[in-house]
Amino acid sequence: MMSAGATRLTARRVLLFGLRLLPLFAFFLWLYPKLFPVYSSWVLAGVNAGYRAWSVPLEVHPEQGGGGLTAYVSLPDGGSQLLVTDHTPENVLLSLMLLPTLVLATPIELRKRMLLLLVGLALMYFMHVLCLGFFFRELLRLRLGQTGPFSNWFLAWILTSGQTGSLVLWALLTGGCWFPGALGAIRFRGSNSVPRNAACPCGSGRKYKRCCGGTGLEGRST
Amino acid sequence: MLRYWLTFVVLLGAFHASLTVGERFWAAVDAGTASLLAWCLSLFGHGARAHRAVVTSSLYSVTIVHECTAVHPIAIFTSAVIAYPLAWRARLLGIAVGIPALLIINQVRLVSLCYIGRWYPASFETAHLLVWQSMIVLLTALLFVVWILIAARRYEAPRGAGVMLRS
Repeated sequence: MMSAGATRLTARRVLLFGLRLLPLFAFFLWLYPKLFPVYSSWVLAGVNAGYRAWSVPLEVHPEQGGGGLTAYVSLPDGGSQLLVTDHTPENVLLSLMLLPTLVLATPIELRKRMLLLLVGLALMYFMHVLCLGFFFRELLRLRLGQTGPFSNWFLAWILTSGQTGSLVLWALLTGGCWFPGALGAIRFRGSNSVPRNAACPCGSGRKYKRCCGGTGLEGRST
Repeated sequence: MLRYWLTFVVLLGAFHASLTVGERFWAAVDAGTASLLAWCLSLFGHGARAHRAVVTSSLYSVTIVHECTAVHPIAIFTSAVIAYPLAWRARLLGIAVGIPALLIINQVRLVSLCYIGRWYPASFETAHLLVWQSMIVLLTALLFVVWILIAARRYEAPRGAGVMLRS
């Protein structure tokens, strides 16, 4: 049975996906420096809120005159001491640019792309808060000689999660969109759900019988 | 679909966990990438030599670190391909073609960075951290989609049927 919102993945659509990537990437590359300070301040607010909630003696601020972050350790006497200045966030927050590029280039309905983008951005924000929160906490633990079995794992994960994190999120979010075909859901002729003379739901503009309901698809059901 | 998500996340987690356990593995990967880069630069007549993870040449000298290798894009691509419910033959073919493709893309990145470092040193950091790392991600995604199209057509769908996307 053909689902109403189905789209046909053809070589043309894949080419469209490839061609969309470059201009979208160029646009977000241009936008990135403007968004970075605002977004990173939101992420820092989340990280510091997490530290307060879990009583971690850390506070993170933007680096003065740079794109990195500066972490301070709270001392028992009420003061604070510089722990580290790190430029990891510049890498980690790159997915702010890459995730929208990937999601918006995906050849599916625009409304669904926007929905996936919103969900993706929310997940990405959560991921960034988690990554950076753990990153500075692990640095503090390393400094104090309190490394646990997962310290290296966390640090390696965080260091590479900037760019690749966007790829993982995209693969997770849009993975379902690529599915039905591979699951053998190539729609078959004679489906009762779509009249043969109706417009094909794949959006080609042709009649169903001349498009996805055409010859060669008999005997395949979902 | 849930199986795809779960398999993908579990495979990726296992991949990352196994990669971060052994420093010996990373040393070998860094050294291998450095040797390949030295060979590529020598092809262009720059007389490059690799010593462990350090590549010296008449063009530019670089040190290969973990993030310079193609291991992470390969881990994500491989996890996504294995998780995808196509015939095992299609998946193995995807991995067999995808891994060398990603290694080649990464070598192109490294060689081009050496040229940028030599000729446009002011643009090196932008090209290194921003542009090329992003391009690797975008190209990995493109490779995955192209694999779905080709593999699903060849192994699952009748000729000319295309692949249906649930949008």
